[in-house]
Amino acid sequence: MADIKAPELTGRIDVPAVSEGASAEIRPHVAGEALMTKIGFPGKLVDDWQARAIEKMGDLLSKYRSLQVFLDICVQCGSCTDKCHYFLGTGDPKNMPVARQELLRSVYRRYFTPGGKYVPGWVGARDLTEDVLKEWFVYFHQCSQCRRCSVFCPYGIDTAEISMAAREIMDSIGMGQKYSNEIIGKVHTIGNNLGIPDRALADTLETLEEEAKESTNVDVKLPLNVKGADVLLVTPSADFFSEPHVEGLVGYAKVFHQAGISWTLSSYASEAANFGLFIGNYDNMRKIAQRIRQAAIDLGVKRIVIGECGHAWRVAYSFLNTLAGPWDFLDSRYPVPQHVCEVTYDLINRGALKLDPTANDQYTVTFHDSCNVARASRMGDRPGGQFEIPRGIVKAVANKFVEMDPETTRDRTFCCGGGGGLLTDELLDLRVKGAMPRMQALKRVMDSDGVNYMASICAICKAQFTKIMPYYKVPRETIGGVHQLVSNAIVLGAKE
Amino acid sequence: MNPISWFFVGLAYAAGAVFALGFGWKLWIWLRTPNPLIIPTTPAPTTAGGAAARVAGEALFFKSLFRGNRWTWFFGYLMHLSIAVALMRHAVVPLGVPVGGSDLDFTALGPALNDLIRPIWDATFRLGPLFPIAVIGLLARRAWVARTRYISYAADYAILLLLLGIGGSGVLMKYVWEPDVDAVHHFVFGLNPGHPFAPAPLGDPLFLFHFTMVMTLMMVFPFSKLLHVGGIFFSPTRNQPDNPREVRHVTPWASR
Ligand code: HEM
Ligand code: SF4
Ligand code: SF4
Repeated sequence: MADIKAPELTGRIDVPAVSEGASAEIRPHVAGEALMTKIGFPGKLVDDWQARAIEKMGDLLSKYRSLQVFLDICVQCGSCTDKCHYFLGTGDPKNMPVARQELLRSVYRRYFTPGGKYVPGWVGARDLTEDVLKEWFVYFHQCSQCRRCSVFCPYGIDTAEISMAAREIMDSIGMGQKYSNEIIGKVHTIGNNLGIPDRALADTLETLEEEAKESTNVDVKLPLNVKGADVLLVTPSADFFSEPHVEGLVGYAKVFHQAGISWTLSSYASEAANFGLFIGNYDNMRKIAQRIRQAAIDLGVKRIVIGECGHAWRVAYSFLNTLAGPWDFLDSRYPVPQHVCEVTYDLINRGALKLDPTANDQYTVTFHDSCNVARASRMGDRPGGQFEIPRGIVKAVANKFVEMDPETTRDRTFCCGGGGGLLTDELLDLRVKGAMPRMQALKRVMDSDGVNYMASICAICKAQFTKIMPYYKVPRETIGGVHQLVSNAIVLGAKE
Repeated sequence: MNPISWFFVGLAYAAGAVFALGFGWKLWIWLRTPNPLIIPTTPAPTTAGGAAARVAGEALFFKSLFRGNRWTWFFGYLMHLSIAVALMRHAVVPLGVPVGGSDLDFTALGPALNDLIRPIWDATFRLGPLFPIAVIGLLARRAWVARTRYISYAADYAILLLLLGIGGSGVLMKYVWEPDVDAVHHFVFGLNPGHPFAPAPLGDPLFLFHFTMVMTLMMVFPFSKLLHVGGIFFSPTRNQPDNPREVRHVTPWASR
């Protein structure tokens, strides 16, 4: 904690002066041989890495229109330059989204465009040298793929797409990131990011049931691998073990209990997160998504519901149909998949849950829109439902609700600073600085309205804020889930 | 026809060919490259029509840029409006209307439309000087703001200077050194296939400068960021409808 200094909390988000190289030394660990080969990549940097990288780039260009178009059309207008939380937090100009893209685009120009081949100096084209590769590894792991830059770009250029492609290229030549690749390997063999085996999961759920019984005197169940249940709940594995996540899991269980919905968790698909997205690798992403399909078939469920997790919801909402559909064997009256917030909100609106918002009276709540939910998904049947539905729930279960500065919410929300595969200790310095914009906006409502609870629907946001808030001298308990509030407010057994 | 005239004729044909083939090739590459996944930046319209309207809002009003940076939007919008007006005024030349003139007849459209269009059309040809002003605004921002200075290459300045050259020479021709309009028309019409070639107006260096700059712009177009003109319509984050749960999206390479 000593050598990491958080920016001062002033309540303002200032655009920093450009400070070259400010975060050049922050880099993640490189994945070792075993981790790499396990998920289909070369174990270490291959001898002809340069040629292989260019070849891979060509391959991706022919497969992803996003990459091809985005690399071709940026006009360097600068609209995105002050939009990235990592630039705002570090001042390193290579964290300006367009400059981050340029790390890849300069190489694209050199090898794929006439301008770059003949007048490289004029158009900003660079050979792919070892220095460039090192720079890629640093700065493409300083992008949380939050898509904020895309919102303000006149062409919607999404730096997330670029950094996914760059990571895919690096993996394909044997230079992967340890944190993400290790997690992907665990999902393939064990079924979840944390590597929790079946037995431990069953024990945990049992303990949670006992605790729920103690505190509520009601038999709230957390069923595992129940064949024939209606709902398969797939949730981030952090919900099983981490604080404050686990409170949310109990919240889902209470909602299902109270609504009389038969549901189950699966030990085979015990993970909603899909880090295949972060490394831009279609095959790994698909393989992880297929586990959900398999679990749904094996358990014979009728619906799939996803727990509170941002990028998981992106993969589920936007990609699951493509990656693991069609879902014609499920109940067609429900969207596939559904977000747990959609389920709860619907039940609240139908009066199926009895709620006592005074149970949350010790809190003044604000809502942090998680980037992948806000800018890469939807809830409900109208655009923007991803903003209204979680807020609708919060307002139903808590009496005091305050919005943060609208410049920092909804589709303009700031990333927590830990998304996109960066939630690892060696990047802590970056994570603390990247959280600056959100922390400033939070600070403002803490001072003006006494906010003491920031609700979020993302496992990464929850873990990230729990870790970094103390650096800003904000109590870590300030971050919590939406269903944690639901759990507090729900009145069990009140229906009868 | 002297060799210098032939040079300008050759330049025009070369520029036309490079532009058409280069841009066409790029459009083909974009068209043939698939979108394996649904990735609109949300909230996004849920229908194809809604997505088209979203793209139109970007192309006609630069909506996202407006949210992103007001100054860039202002100068950029002004510049593009000027380009659009200039293109329009050049496009009516074959109807017998000089670029800077205003004698296009709208009366055939009926009095109501005539009253509406007439003053707007007349006003457009006084907008010329705004073009160089807008370009200078963009240049200034690029050079002064540390962030945009950092991301700018020689090519970014060069294109703006090219546009400044085109706009500046155009304005000068209209207000200061008017070229021999008949000779210019003669030359330009001679470039049309099927017309006999006409000599270049060699007595009007300002025109030759203007013309050469425009041809240069056409030739760099397919190899530069000017590709945004087509690319804006291909951007998946803007042109895809947000309907992945309702419609299963499959792409051949990705569906094994
Ligand atoms: C479909 C038509 C077009 C659309 C929608 C469009 C849109 C845009 C947008 C949104 C920008 C970024 C903002 C800015 O810097 O102004 C831009 C930049 C630019 N556009 Fe266009 N444009 C179009 C046609 C053209 C044409 C025909 C030209 C020139 C021949 C042109 C030249 C430029 C240049 C040079 C820039 C960069 C400005 C700078 O350096 O700051 N555009 N365009
Ligand atoms: S996607 Fe987010 S983290 Fe990445 S460059 Fe854009 S704003 Fe920054
Ligand atoms: S906003 Fe878009 S076009 Fe402008 S510099 Fe950034 S990425 Fe390029």
